[in-house]
Amino acid sequence: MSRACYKIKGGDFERGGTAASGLKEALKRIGAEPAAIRRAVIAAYEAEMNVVIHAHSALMCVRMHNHQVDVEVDDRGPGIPDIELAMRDGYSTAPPAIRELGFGAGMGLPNIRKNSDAFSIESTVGHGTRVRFSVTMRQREGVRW
Amino acid sequence: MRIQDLSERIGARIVSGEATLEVSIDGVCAGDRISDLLAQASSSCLLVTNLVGPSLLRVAELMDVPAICLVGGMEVEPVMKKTAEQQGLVLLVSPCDMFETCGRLYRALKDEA
Repeated sequence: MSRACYKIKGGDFERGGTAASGLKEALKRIGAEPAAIRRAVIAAYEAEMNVVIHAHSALMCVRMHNHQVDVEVDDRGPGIPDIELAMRDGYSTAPPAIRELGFGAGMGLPNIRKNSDAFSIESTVGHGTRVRFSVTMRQREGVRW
Repeated sequence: MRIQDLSERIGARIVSGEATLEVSIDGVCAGDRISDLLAQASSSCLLVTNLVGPSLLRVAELMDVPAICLVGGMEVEPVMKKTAEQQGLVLLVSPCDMFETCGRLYRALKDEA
Protein backbone atom coordinates (compact mmCIF):
# COMPACT_ATOMS: atom_id res chain seq x y z
CA MET A 1 0.00 0.00 0.00
CA SER A 2 1.22 3.50 -0.69
CA ARG A 3 -0.12 6.92 0.12
CA ALA A 4 0.65 10.42 -1.11
CA CYS A 5 -0.86 13.83 -0.48
CA TYR A 6 -0.75 16.94 -2.64
CA LYS A 7 -1.56 20.52 -1.70
CA ILE A 8 -3.78 22.41 -4.14
CA LYS A 9 -4.01 26.19 -4.17
CA GLY A 10 -7.16 27.98 -5.32
CA GLY A 11 -6.67 30.24 -8.35
CA ASP A 12 -3.33 28.71 -9.31
CA PHE A 13 -3.93 27.71 -12.93
CA GLU A 14 -0.18 27.47 -13.62
CA ARG A 15 0.20 24.55 -11.22
CA GLY A 16 -3.32 23.18 -11.63
CA GLY A 17 -3.00 19.52 -12.62
CA THR A 18 0.22 18.89 -10.69
CA ALA A 19 -1.52 16.48 -8.33
CA ALA A 20 -3.17 14.57 -11.18
CA SER A 21 0.21 14.40 -12.88
CA GLY A 22 1.76 12.98 -9.69
CA LEU A 23 -0.98 10.35 -9.50
CA LYS A 24 -0.43 9.39 -13.13
CA GLU A 25 3.30 8.88 -12.59
CA ALA A 26 2.70 6.84 -9.43
CA LEU A 27 0.23 4.55 -11.22
CA LYS A 28 2.57 4.13 -14.18
CA ARG A 29 5.43 3.24 -11.84
CA ILE A 30 3.52 0.34 -10.32
CA GLY A 31 2.44 -0.88 -13.76
CA ALA A 32 -1.29 -0.17 -13.47
CA GLU A 33 -3.34 -0.79 -16.62
CA PRO A 34 -3.52 2.21 -19.00
CA ALA A 35 -7.34 2.35 -19.16
CA ALA A 36 -7.61 2.56 -15.38
CA ILE A 37 -4.81 5.15 -15.20
CA ARG A 38 -6.74 7.23 -17.70
CA ARG A 39 -9.96 7.11 -15.67
CA ALA A 40 -8.18 7.90 -12.41
CA VAL A 41 -6.26 10.79 -13.96
CA ILE A 42 -9.36 12.33 -15.57
CA ALA A 43 -11.28 12.15 -12.28
CA ALA A 44 -8.31 13.53 -10.31
CA TYR A 45 -7.75 16.39 -12.73
CA GLU A 46 -11.42 17.39 -12.67
CA ALA A 47 -11.42 17.32 -8.86
CA GLU A 48 -8.19 19.30 -8.71
CA MET A 49 -9.41 21.98 -11.10
CA ASN A 50 -12.67 22.31 -9.16
CA VAL A 51 -10.51 23.40 -6.23
CA VAL A 52 -8.44 25.77 -8.40
CA ILE A 53 -11.63 27.35 -9.78
CA HIS A 54 -13.90 27.44 -6.73
CA ALA A 55 -11.99 26.95 -3.46
CA HIS A 56 -9.21 28.57 -1.43
CA SER A 57 -7.09 25.48 -0.94
CA ALA A 58 -7.29 21.72 -0.59
CA LEU A 59 -5.42 18.58 0.18
CA MET A 60 -5.67 15.68 -2.26
CA CYS A 61 -4.72 12.37 -0.68
CA VAL A 62 -4.25 9.25 -2.77
CA ARG A 63 -4.08 5.72 -1.42
CA MET A 64 -3.22 2.75 -3.59
CA HIS A 65 -4.08 -0.66 -2.16
CA ASN A 66 -5.57 -4.00 -3.20
CA HIS A 67 -5.76 -3.04 -6.87
CA GLN A 68 -7.70 0.09 -6.10
CA VAL A 69 -6.92 3.80 -5.97
CA ASP A 70 -8.78 5.87 -3.39
CA VAL A 71 -8.67 9.64 -3.78
CA GLU A 72 -9.94 12.18 -1.27
CA VAL A 73 -10.02 15.90 -2.00
CA ASP A 74 -10.83 17.98 1.04
CA ASP A 75 -11.12 21.69 0.34
CA ARG A 76 -11.54 24.89 2.27
CA GLY A 77 -13.90 27.01 0.27
CA PRO A 78 -17.43 28.31 -0.14
CA GLY A 79 -19.07 24.88 -0.18
CA ILE A 80 -21.95 23.77 -2.39
CA PRO A 81 -25.48 24.77 -1.35
CA ASP A 82 -27.27 22.26 -3.60
CA ILE A 83 -25.23 19.13 -4.36
CA GLU A 84 -27.96 17.54 -6.48
CA LEU A 85 -27.96 20.59 -8.75
CA ALA A 86 -24.15 20.72 -8.84
CA MET A 87 -24.05 17.09 -10.01
CA ARG A 88 -26.20 17.82 -13.07
CA ASP A 89 -24.45 17.79 -16.44
CA GLY A 90 -24.00 21.36 -17.63
CA TYR A 91 -24.71 23.13 -14.33
CA SER A 92 -21.95 25.53 -13.33
CA THR A 93 -21.46 28.62 -11.20
CA ALA A 94 -18.11 29.50 -12.79
CA PRO A 95 -17.83 33.14 -13.89
CA PRO A 96 -17.30 34.14 -17.56
CA ALA A 97 -13.54 34.67 -17.09
CA ILE A 98 -13.17 31.02 -16.05
CA ARG A 99 -15.31 29.83 -18.95
CA GLU A 100 -12.99 31.61 -21.36
CA LEU A 101 -10.22 29.34 -20.10
CA GLY A 102 -12.22 26.31 -21.16
CA PHE A 103 -13.63 25.49 -17.72
CA GLY A 104 -17.06 25.96 -16.15
CA ALA A 105 -18.94 23.75 -18.59
CA GLY A 106 -20.63 21.95 -15.71
CA MET A 107 -18.89 18.68 -16.50
CA GLY A 108 -16.41 18.45 -13.63
CA LEU A 109 -18.34 16.62 -10.92
CA PRO A 110 -20.27 14.42 -13.41
CA ASN A 111 -16.95 13.44 -15.03
CA ILE A 112 -15.48 12.45 -11.68
CA ARG A 113 -18.46 10.19 -11.02
CA LYS A 114 -18.39 8.80 -14.58
CA ASN A 115 -14.71 7.90 -14.37
CA SER A 116 -14.78 6.28 -10.95
CA ASP A 117 -16.18 3.07 -9.48
CA ALA A 118 -17.21 4.67 -6.20
CA PHE A 119 -17.99 8.32 -5.59
CA SER A 120 -19.21 10.47 -2.73
CA ILE A 121 -19.44 14.17 -2.03
CA GLU A 122 -20.30 16.13 1.09
CA SER A 123 -20.24 19.86 1.55
CA THR A 124 -20.85 22.50 4.20
CA VAL A 125 -21.62 25.98 2.97
CA GLY A 126 -19.03 28.44 4.22
CA HIS A 127 -16.54 25.69 5.13
CA GLY A 128 -15.74 23.45 2.22
CA THR A 129 -16.33 20.31 0.21
CA ARG A 130 -15.00 16.78 0.44
CA VAL A 131 -14.99 14.58 -2.66
CA ARG A 132 -14.01 10.93 -2.47
CA PHE A 133 -13.69 8.51 -5.34
CA SER A 134 -12.12 5.17 -6.11
CA VAL A 135 -10.97 3.50 -9.30
CA THR A 136 -10.54 -0.26 -9.44
CA MET A 137 -7.61 -1.67 -11.40
CA ARG A 138 -7.61 -5.03 -13.10
CA GLN A 139 -5.11 -7.38 -11.54
CA ARG A 140 -1.95 -7.68 -13.64
CA GLU A 141 0.86 -10.13 -13.17
CA GLY A 142 3.95 -8.66 -11.57
CA VAL A 143 2.20 -5.50 -10.33
CA ARG A 144 2.91 -4.82 -6.69
CA TRP A 145 0.55 -2.58 -4.72
CA MET B 1 -0.40 10.05 -40.78
CA ARG B 2 2.84 11.71 -39.67
CA ILE B 3 2.37 15.06 -37.95
CA GLN B 4 4.85 16.56 -40.42
CA ASP B 5 2.70 15.49 -43.40
CA LEU B 6 -0.51 16.55 -41.73
CA SER B 7 0.83 20.03 -40.94
CA GLU B 8 1.83 20.46 -44.59
CA ARG B 9 -1.58 19.29 -45.82
CA ILE B 10 -3.42 21.87 -43.72
CA GLY B 11 -0.88 24.66 -44.23
CA ALA B 12 -0.04 24.93 -40.53
CA ARG B 13 2.98 26.64 -39.05
CA ILE B 14 5.18 24.57 -36.74
CA VAL B 15 5.91 26.43 -33.50
CA SER B 16 7.53 23.73 -31.40
CA GLY B 17 8.38 20.04 -31.30
CA GLU B 18 10.35 19.64 -34.53
CA ALA B 19 12.00 16.58 -32.97
CA THR B 20 8.72 14.66 -32.79
CA LEU B 21 7.17 15.48 -36.17
CA GLU B 22 7.62 11.84 -37.21
CA VAL B 23 5.00 10.69 -34.70
CA SER B 24 1.81 9.41 -36.34
CA ILE B 25 -1.66 10.48 -35.42
CA ASP B 26 -4.89 8.79 -36.47
CA GLY B 27 -7.58 11.12 -35.19
CA VAL B 28 -8.56 14.64 -34.21
CA CYS B 29 -10.09 15.89 -30.97
CA ALA B 30 -11.48 19.37 -31.48
CA GLY B 31 -13.14 21.66 -28.96
CA ASP B 32 -12.90 24.57 -26.59
CA ARG B 33 -13.91 22.90 -23.34
CA ILE B 34 -11.19 21.35 -21.24
CA SER B 35 -13.46 18.52 -20.05
CA ASP B 36 -14.30 17.55 -23.64
CA LEU B 37 -10.65 17.55 -24.67
CA LEU B 38 -9.74 15.51 -21.61
CA ALA B 39 -12.41 12.93 -22.39
CA GLN B 40 -11.42 12.54 -26.05
CA ALA B 41 -7.66 12.97 -25.97
CA SER B 42 -5.26 10.07 -26.51
CA SER B 43 -1.68 9.36 -27.47
CA SER B 44 -2.61 9.19 -31.15
CA CYS B 45 -4.80 12.24 -31.56
CA LEU B 46 -4.25 15.84 -32.54
CA LEU B 47 -5.96 18.38 -30.26
CA VAL B 48 -7.48 21.26 -32.21
CA THR B 49 -8.62 24.24 -30.17
CA ASN B 50 -8.99 27.98 -29.71
CA LEU B 51 -7.76 27.64 -26.13
CA VAL B 52 -4.28 28.65 -25.04
CA GLY B 53 -2.49 28.52 -21.72
CA PRO B 54 -1.21 26.16 -19.05
CA SER B 55 -4.37 24.08 -18.69
CA LEU B 56 -4.29 23.09 -22.36
CA LEU B 57 -0.69 21.95 -22.05
CA ARG B 58 -1.55 20.08 -18.86
CA VAL B 59 -4.31 18.15 -20.63
CA ALA B 60 -1.81 17.20 -23.34
CA GLU B 61 0.68 16.03 -20.71
CA LEU B 62 -1.86 14.02 -18.73
CA MET B 63 -3.30 12.29 -21.80
CA ASP B 64 0.06 11.79 -23.59
CA VAL B 65 -1.13 13.86 -26.54
CA PRO B 66 1.66 14.26 -29.14
CA ALA B 67 0.45 17.45 -30.83
CA ILE B 68 -1.82 20.48 -30.51
CA CYS B 69 -3.07 22.64 -33.38
CA LEU B 70 -4.16 26.16 -32.51
CA VAL B 71 -6.42 27.87 -35.00
CA GLY B 72 -6.97 31.28 -36.55
CA GLY B 73 -3.29 32.04 -37.13
CA MET B 74 -2.90 33.06 -33.52
CA GLU B 75 0.41 34.20 -32.06
CA VAL B 76 1.86 31.86 -29.47
CA GLU B 77 3.21 33.36 -26.25
CA PRO B 78 6.92 32.57 -25.66
CA VAL B 79 6.12 30.90 -22.32
CA MET B 80 3.68 28.51 -24.01
CA LYS B 81 6.21 27.71 -26.71
CA LYS B 82 8.90 27.05 -24.11
CA THR B 83 6.67 24.76 -22.03
CA ALA B 84 5.60 22.83 -25.13
CA GLU B 85 9.27 22.36 -26.08
CA GLN B 86 10.03 21.07 -22.59
CA GLN B 87 7.14 18.59 -22.86
CA GLY B 88 8.31 17.42 -26.29
CA LEU B 89 4.93 18.50 -27.61
CA VAL B 90 4.34 19.56 -31.22
CA LEU B 91 2.56 22.90 -31.40
CA LEU B 92 1.04 23.85 -34.75
CA VAL B 93 -0.83 27.00 -35.76
CA SER B 94 -3.38 26.73 -38.54
CA PRO B 95 -4.05 29.88 -40.58
CA CYS B 96 -7.76 28.93 -40.75
CA ASP B 97 -10.57 29.03 -38.23
CA MET B 98 -11.76 25.93 -36.36
CA PHE B 99 -14.31 24.94 -39.02
CA GLU B 100 -11.93 25.06 -41.96
CA THR B 101 -9.03 23.56 -40.03
CA CYS B 102 -11.17 20.55 -39.08
CA GLY B 103 -12.39 20.27 -42.68
CA ARG B 104 -8.82 20.17 -43.98
CA LEU B 105 -7.79 17.65 -41.34
CA TYR B 106 -10.76 15.44 -42.14
CA ARG B 107 -9.91 15.48 -45.85
CA ALA B 108 -6.22 14.73 -45.21
CA LEU B 109 -6.93 11.80 -42.89
CA LYS B 110 -9.73 10.48 -45.15
CA ASP B 111 -7.47 10.59 -48.24
CA GLU B 112 -4.87 8.56 -46.43
CA ALA B 113 -7.30 5.90 -45.18
